[in-house]
Amino acid sequence: MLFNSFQYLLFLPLVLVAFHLLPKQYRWVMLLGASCWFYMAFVPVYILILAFTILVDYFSGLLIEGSEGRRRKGWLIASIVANLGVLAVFKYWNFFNYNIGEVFRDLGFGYGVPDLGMLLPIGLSFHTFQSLSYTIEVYRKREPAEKHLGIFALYVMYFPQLVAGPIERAGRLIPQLRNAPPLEPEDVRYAINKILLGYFKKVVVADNLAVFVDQLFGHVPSGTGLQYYVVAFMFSVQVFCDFSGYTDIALGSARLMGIRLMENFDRPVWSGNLGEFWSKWHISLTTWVRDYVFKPWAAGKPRWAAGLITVAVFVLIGFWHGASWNFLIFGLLNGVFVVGQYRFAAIKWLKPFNKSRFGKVLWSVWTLHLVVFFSIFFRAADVHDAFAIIAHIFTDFRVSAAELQSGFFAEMAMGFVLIGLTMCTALFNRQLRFKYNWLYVVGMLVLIFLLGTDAQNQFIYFQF
Amino acid sequence: MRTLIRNSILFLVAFATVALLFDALFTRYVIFKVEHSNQGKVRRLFESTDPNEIPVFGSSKARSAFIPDSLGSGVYNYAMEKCNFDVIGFLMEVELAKPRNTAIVVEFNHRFFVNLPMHTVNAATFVPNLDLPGVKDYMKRMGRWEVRYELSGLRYFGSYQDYLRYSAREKNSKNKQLVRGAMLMDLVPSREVFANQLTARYIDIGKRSAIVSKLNDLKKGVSVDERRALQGLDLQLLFTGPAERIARFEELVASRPDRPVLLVYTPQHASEVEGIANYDEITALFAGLEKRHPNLHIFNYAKMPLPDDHFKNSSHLNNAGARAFCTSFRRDADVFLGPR
Repeated sequence: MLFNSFQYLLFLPLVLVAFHLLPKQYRWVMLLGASCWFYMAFVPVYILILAFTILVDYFSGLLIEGSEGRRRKGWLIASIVANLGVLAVFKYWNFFNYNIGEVFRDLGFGYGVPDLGMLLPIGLSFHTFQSLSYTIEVYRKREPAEKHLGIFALYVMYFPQLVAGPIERAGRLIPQLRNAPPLEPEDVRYAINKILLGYFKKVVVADNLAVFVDQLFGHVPSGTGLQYYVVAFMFSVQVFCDFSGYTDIALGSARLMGIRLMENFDRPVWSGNLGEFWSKWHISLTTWVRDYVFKPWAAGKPRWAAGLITVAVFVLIGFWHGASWNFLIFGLLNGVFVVGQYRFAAIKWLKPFNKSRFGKVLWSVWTLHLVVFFSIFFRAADVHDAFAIIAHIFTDFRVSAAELQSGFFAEMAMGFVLIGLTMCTALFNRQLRFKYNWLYVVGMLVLIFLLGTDAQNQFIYFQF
Repeated sequence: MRTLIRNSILFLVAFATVALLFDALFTRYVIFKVEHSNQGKVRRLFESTDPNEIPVFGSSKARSAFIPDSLGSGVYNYAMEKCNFDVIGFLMEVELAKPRNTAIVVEFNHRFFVNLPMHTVNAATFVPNLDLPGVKDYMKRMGRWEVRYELSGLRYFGSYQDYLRYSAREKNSKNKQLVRGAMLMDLVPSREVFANQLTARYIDIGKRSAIVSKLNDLKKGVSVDERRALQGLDLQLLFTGPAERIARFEELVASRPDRPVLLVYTPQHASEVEGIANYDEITALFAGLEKRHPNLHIFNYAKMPLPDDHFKNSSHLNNAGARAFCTSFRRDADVFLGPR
């Protein structure tokens, strides 16, 4: 079920009413049923994959807790292999199969292993990582194993964050699922504002920008370099509003049950360097990778090795997004520039400049451009298209009379108005006093009603 | 908490009242204010009783190609963006139920029979017309029905932009004329912009043929992404004519043997026709249709040679192109188009 569907607008109030009417000890049953219903609205049979992950990690957690030494490690490895195995089969099989096949064919051998003719289960990487974090935490003795299968299943399947995060940790979410704190008026205000902001970002900004973006990215190089430059910016905003919009709706929906999910974004647009950007963007993924991949891997290593590991980790983050060369290059570029910028900033004679106001602005503009250019790899249909777009931006950067006539700049202006509105609404929300909140609610409802699209586009991050 | 719940309910009631009022005013003063809008055209088609009217149904290609003034005094251009047989089939049903026996002009292009109602059937066009007979059933049939379309205040969500855009756009300007449903543009793209559009098309053609040749070569592998890309490219570059949809079209044509149906393939840019990998299937279809239905007349101008400056972009004619086409079409179909 999509958050931006009419069904969800009926589904959420029904769940909320049931949640608050039921005694606390039965709430998990209703929430688990609702989560199953929510997930099965996409492709019902894929719930079996989730069930497999839940059962494997539930029993792994118990077995890890009940054992020590090599056996303990063995159960952890079994859990990791099972989880990553599911990911490998459903998400990466076709990619590896094709590329291995190409190598075989280039060497003159036959290759007839078939592709997996299945759609990628929605949100697979999110719930796999969430479930995996639980077994790792139990292994590290930071969390006790969850004895209640229903509560554990709900931890993996809790519908607001099931298909696109935030990737929660067991220590935060399970206690809240077991015993949600009572709802306060401030929770309601926070939730309504978040949900409205999320819908605004998704149906007003992201889905409207998608029209321009799809048009040009769908037919490369049908526009001028300037058009592609602008549209690359638009795509960065689109993906931010799409993903953070989803997260806002998720956070708001959960808060209406008294449950606090983690914030996934912290105003990433204006970052002084790429490392800072990644610490503010998709925080639940970057902290996951930091805690479970980077730290264990880089601990005690010399600086040059840590740099290489950073690049490798970013390649993994890229590959987490999707099984294609585009995402591998996206990750690689981010990794190389994160390390490069870090090294560059450490140059002694540059430090006064870096600390000056002008230097900070310059670095922020530079970082923003890096984000925009790398996003071309994120959006383009393939590597060839991505390089063609970048080449086009540098070789065909001009304004043509036809663009002026065709209303391209009017559309562009509309795009920037939308971006401006997003920033204003977010700021307005922060500044507002409780008793004037209705002003914000009315304003957002009017904007959503008048400017929203009912394209019911799937959220971009669902595919991951 | 009680105060909060009470205030929230009061707020919702007030908001719903305002929304209902706004809905009524918007319907009256914005949605049907513009006659040339898609929703206005649908209503006009239902209400038109002119015995001499010759309707033109088609996509945006038809909207910019058929100039009613050049074709005949009874001609009205009902073409709408993204429209193909998904919509035209329904409009033909409505038209064929009328007592008049004038010709019906139907624009054809290689995507005419593609079944893609999520893309072709725009809710903004039909929701304000739900009171007209058969519209609701049609939307249900096409899988485009939502319960909220019957709820005032909620029904236009997602369509306001379309309506406002029409209000702003449907005005004559220096290089745009609106004539009985047609939208004629004097726009000529710069050489570079046009070249970019053509390059993009040729790249798509090249991509498609490369994937198809890989598919045909057992020694080469085709990735899942390539297969997915091929589906998209086929949609753009391949004629698809599912048997049941062609049969439905023929059924409609045959239902009124007294009404001539003119199936017109408007002039396309050479690159567009070149890109259609199975263009022969279109000509074969035309031959078969013409043979089976004496009241169906095919006019194929797809390969009509027109210079680049007769196009608004690589897919649509501009005013000059439309005039050149209409001159030929009027001459060839003179007998069906009535007096000028």
